Amino acid sequence: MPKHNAPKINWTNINARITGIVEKITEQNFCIDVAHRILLELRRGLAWRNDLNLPVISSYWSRETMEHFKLNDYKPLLEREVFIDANYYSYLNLTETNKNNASSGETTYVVDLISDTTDTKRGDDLDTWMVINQDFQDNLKDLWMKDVLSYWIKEDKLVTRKKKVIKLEEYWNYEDYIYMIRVWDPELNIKIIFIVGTYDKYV
Amino acid sequence: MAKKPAGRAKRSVAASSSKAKTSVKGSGKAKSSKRIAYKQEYIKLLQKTNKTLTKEVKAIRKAIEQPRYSADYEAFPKEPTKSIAIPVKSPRTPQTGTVEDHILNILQDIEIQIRQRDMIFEELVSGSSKLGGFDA
Repeated sequence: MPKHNAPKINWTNINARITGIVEKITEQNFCIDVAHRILLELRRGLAWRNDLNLPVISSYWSRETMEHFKLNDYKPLLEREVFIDANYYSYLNLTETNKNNASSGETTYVVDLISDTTDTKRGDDLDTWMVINQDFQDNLKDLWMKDVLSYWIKEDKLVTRKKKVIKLEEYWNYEDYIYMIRVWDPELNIKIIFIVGTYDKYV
Repeated sequence: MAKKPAGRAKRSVAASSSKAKTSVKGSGKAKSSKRIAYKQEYIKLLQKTNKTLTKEVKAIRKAIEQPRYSADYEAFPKEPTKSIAIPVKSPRTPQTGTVEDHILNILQDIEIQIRQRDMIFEELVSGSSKLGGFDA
């Protein structure tokens, strides 16, 4: 085709497509980045469980996180910060989180990778999980008493952070014993808690 | 329990109170240092993304400035995945096409690549979490 007969370039169309490409790449990179960070933490915390497909779990939750970003107000993804931390927490922390949710309207999912054998990917709403998981509490209490009670009595470490006199068998509730990985954001309306273990031994 | 390190229990008691506060108020020095760390991570990610996009933009610019340009640009393989059909365009001939054709071809290549990434991620997300041994 002679050059002067060539169709004119539709810059508006090209510009719109490039904008779409940039947006999509940003989303994908966000998902990949968050999934990778979750995966690293899960690998560290779940070295004792090689029957799980951890890449599936981490990519599922990274996408859920992004969907919540979109539902919120979908500001540019890279300006936001997603925190991921892993530490020992007490059962009290879970109940406090649950209480906070009621006031803030935040959605918290708990993915119980210790005792839940039905679905380790999608997890449960924290409120529902706490209601139906009396077994988890009982197991935790038994394990704590078996694992560390005698040791802490011997070492004279039985001081609660609230300085309250409590029954010895209730102490498990206050002690940081459950290893959790938490994914959250100060402005995001989602919090994901992966319960991955206890001190040294697992339910 | 002799195997449990003595420092661990002590640390955990101290950590529990600070964690409890963090979970309630969501602020503090530790969080701000985390923020900085994550910002640095994101800057790295941005730079990486920017590098990729700059490369693509350069290719488009070259195509605009040099209609006959074809060096340094290699279209990625367009074979569809086994499970999902991907629209495959006919082989492109940059030497005979117009500038617009060339630009549109490059854009189409990028878009197909993005779709492939999407599908790979989608397959991963929808997969069973209990296939076993995947991560071992």
